[in-house]
Amino acid sequence: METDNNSSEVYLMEGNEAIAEAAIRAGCNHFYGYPITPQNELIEYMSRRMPESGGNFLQAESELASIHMVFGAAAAGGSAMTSTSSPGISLMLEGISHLAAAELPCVVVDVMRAGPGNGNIFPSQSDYSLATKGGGHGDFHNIVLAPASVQDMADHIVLAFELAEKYRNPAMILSDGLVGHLTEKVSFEHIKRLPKLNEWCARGATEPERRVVKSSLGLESQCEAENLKFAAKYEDLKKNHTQWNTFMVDDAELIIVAFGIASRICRKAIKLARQENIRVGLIQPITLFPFPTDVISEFAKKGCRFLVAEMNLGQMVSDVELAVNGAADVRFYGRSGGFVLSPEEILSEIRKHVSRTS
Amino acid sequence: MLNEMLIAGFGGQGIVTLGKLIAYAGMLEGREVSCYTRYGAEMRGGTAQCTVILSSDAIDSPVIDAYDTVVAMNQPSMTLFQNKVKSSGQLIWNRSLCTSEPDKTGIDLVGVDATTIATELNNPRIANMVAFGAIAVKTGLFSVDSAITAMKKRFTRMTQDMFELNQAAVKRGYEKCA
Repeated sequence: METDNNSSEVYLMEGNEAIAEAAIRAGCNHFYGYPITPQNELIEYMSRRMPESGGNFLQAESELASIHMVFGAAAAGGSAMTSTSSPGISLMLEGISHLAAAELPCVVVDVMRAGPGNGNIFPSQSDYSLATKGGGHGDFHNIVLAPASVQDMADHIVLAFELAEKYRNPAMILSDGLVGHLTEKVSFEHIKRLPKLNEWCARGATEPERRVVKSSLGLESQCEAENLKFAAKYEDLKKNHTQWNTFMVDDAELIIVAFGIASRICRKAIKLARQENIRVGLIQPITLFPFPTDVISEFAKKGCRFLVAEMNLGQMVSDVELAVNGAADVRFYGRSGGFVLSPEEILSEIRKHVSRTS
Repeated sequence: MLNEMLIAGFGGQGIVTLGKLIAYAGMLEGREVSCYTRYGAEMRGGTAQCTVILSSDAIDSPVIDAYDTVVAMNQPSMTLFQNKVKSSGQLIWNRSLCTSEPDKTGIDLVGVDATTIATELNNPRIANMVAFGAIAVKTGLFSVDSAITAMKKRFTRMTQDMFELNQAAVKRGYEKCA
């Protein structure tokens, strides 16, 4: 790959391409996917680069097939991923649940579009609830990361593989059509191939001890024991890997909570509001599961009020309300159906909820 | 330094290609860049838009409400987006595909016969490259050399003939506006 800059390894790439390149550099060697807008560039890039890097690329016959190919590859010790957009995620949920039950590490990329149903191909944050509350049937969670830039796309896919491997659990990148199609500078210099231990994976009869990968969890007591084991993993994940960014929160009377691309649009609005002496800041959850409950709770106790801004009709609000736990006022502003938030509309929303200081 | 630009036209005019080339030329000159594209589901036709930001600092929102520069490659884009130009900003418009003049006042109006010039070069599809040259000179954001380098780097499978044609289009756009 020819670099776009002579002095350092910097490329100008779309988010969808950056995620694919970073995944391969981190050691992903199995990619299975089915085309859907707005994530086709990811599959297209993989179809070219994965064979070059010695991995497996296959365009599956459906999303159901893709996710179950991921299951097979992960069970056999491969570093596996798939990608799709919202309607495709619905089709993959069954497979994701099996992957979680069998404790198989894998990464699923959702480049979200507007829904429900076929919705349309325009950017949206429509799958927050699906990713963080559901993500398949049963008593489990996906690890969920929300990139806001092309560099985030590269960095988060690496983190997703790392956490998926550490916890032997599916990890989801919750991106959207805007970041997927956004072109920015990106560097891969710092990305190293991740270690793969695989002391549990099924390799046929070559291992001395019997190894079984399965998603049937046995009778009540065994199944409950497995679920409790998963719950303990999520507790550890919360304690050690909850991530967020803050921006201008120190003196803020109003804090916007926004994830992914919405957080960047809000940053611009916050800078404009600051010129009007409005004390407003931002908490940007990076991990959506685990959700950064503690930092929100802390600012609520200090007397901050909250405005949740999303490109959906308020799917994250309940998580912020739980964190606030009645200690502060929580308002919402959002656009749906493929409309993208604009800095001006966030600014006028901010003005409604604050007093001016001079 | 900050320039927030919109490029708009119909699908097939190379709007997204032009946006990415501008971002690349900006990157060659050491800028922070972002290029946010949106287009319809149509294979051909429909609308195509591209927001390009070139900045000396990290870019917050790639989504913008009003622009320093609007490049309108056809009549509907010109009519619609002339009102999104900031006061004292500029509107570069493709005169070849517009039947009326812009009526927005207080901004710099730059009419370029992009499609006509491209047709004179025997390829109306390179009107976007004529605009590329015009944008270089009218915004001063990047040099014509960076524009040509960007084109050479991005079009990896370009024949020598196509390179020369594209280069001629960029230079014609540049000279028309210099």
